[in-house]
Amino acid sequence: MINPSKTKRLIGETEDPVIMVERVSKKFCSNLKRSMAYGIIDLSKNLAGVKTTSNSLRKNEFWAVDDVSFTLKKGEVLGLIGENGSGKSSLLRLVAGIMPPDKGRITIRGRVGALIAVGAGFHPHMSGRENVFLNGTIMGMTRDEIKSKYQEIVDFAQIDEFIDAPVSTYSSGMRVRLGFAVAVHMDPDLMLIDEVLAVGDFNFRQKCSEKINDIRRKSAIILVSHNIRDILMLCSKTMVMNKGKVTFLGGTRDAVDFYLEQTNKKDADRENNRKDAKRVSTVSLLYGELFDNRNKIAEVSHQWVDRAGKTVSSIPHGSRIIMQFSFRVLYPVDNLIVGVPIFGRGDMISAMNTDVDGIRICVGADGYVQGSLEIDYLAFNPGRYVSVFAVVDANEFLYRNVIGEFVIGNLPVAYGSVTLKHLWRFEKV
Amino acid sequence: MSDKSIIVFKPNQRHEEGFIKTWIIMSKNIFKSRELIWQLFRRDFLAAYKKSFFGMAWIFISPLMGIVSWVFLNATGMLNPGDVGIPYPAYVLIGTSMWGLFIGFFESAEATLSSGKDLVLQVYYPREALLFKQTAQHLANFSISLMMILIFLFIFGVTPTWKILLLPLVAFPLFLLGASIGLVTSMISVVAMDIGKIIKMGMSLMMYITPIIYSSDVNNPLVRMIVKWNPLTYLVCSCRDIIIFGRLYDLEGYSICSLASLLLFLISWRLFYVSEDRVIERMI
Repeated sequence: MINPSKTKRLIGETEDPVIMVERVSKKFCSNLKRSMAYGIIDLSKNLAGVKTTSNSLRKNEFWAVDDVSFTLKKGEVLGLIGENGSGKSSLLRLVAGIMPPDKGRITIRGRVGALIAVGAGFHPHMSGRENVFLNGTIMGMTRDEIKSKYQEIVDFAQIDEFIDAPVSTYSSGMRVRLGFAVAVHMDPDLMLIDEVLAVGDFNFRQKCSEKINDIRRKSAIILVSHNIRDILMLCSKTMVMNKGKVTFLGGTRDAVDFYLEQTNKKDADRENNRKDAKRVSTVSLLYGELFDNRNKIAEVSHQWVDRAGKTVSSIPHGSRIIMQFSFRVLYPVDNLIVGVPIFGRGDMISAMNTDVDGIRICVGADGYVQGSLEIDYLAFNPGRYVSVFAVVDANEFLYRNVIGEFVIGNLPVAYGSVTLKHLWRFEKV
Repeated sequence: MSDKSIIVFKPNQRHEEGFIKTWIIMSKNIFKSRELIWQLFRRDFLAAYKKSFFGMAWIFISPLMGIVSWVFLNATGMLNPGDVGIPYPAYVLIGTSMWGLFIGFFESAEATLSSGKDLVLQVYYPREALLFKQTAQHLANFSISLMMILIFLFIFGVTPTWKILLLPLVAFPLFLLGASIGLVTSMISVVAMDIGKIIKMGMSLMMYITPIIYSSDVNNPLVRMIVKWNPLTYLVCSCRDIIIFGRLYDLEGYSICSLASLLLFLISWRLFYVSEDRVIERMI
């Protein structure tokens, strides 16, 4: 599913890449005892002078990173997204040189700074100052380099007054700040960041983002994050991984859309595979009880479409979205109400209801009802949403079921659950 | 950008490099990481005593306890050490401390990978540096305890010869042998804990077949033979004899064992260089 045109373009640009990853693969063993046995075999082979890497998989082995290629130049930030276990961290470890690849080749021009575990090697009984020097040395800085940047590091970490206290007395946030401060001040040509932005308070995260924008002028960055917002804000291109393979490589927005859609589909498949009874119970747990009274209602149809009338699964924030529906009631109704609640992360975000809006539903000949609900400006922030379609008559549910899910993307910065259509204005006094 | 160093990672990379090149690369790495070795050494050496009341005194306490137990056993008459030439406590003291020097080299190397576990998995840096950091730490401890031992020797009326200054040279093969066994054990311990444990136990048992708590002129012919074929007899006892008698234990035996140790060290160093990545990925 790699976007062919984009992949080609990225590999084609060979002028001064900071990192070139060419068809790299890495295998792991899923069984611990067997993994140890393979370790002994490999070690004995090495002793005998035999190569230990081969293209074939032994029992219980699998490709944790499978045929991955990309190139990164100075100034580029590559986002790496994928579910847990998709091979993101393993890829980062390969690039950092912690493990060798089993296939392929990685070429790096210059110094690598890894923020894989911030503060690796901090000694709790040593002071912050001593640890700055220790950590800097571990990352490959010289003593003079650290000395010249020392004040900058301490200022960035905002722990001036505690710098001579032992690190064991620091809060976890302070430790992370100090570790991050050391790593970003080593002026790497390639910076690897694994899921560390999630720690620290709001202010510090803002500062980190600024710093990342700052260092990208001099270096290339690979950023692993589960936070789609960070990815959208910081990355110039993004790679989606699934089971060790690259499933998408291209522009960040497209990649995020692709990723969200992919996870959606997976959830839907999972849901479909379950038995109907069980499906009803989990769905109803999340979105309320489901009904389908076949004696009273039939031919129910509903779907979300966009402006062009196409079925929606993923839609940009602020778009117009329309739900088209139709059904047939099989008996003379008393007081028909149609309702559409929308859920995000299990909570009801909003609900629309003909009764509240004071709309009388016209029932056609043969009890046929056809209509649409139009939302002019979809104000929800990026995420996955599930909507429900309900038909009620005289306080009795005739029908209540999940319409479908849609994903909202493409909003770089968003706070809270919705971003309302708004306008700032200032008057000259 | 062309002045930047280029790093390449590919499969079997280290395997394709020749033996000699491996040793050159590793020596260069060690030299380049001297700052790192110093920092890590400082971290671990100081930290070990920061949180203890006795502090550095521990360096003396443990060998003293050892001597007390040997002297007690000797006093009961259970041991028949034979004629050792100097007062028995002094003999045991110097012998066990030289044994400690050797086993320390082994243990330092054995902990090469495990001592840096937190780092090894997170940052890429020459792991060879860890071996030297460990060894430096051991040597620092040993030097302090040696001072103490010399004072005890004076008390027992044994005056070391000036040839004690040659000790670093004479003890070097001990480092080579201890480190080569240790490096391999360090890797085996990661992939097969049991085998690592067996090797460690075996190493501590070696002390009893080395003539340091008894004289090499024991009556039992079996023991005599074992002692004769044990390379540690020559290496450890030479260190002891250079201090108290100003001579090597057995020049011929010592030379052969030294040469063998050097060879073994070069081989295990190469093995470590080729295999460390394979082993490290199993530490995750």
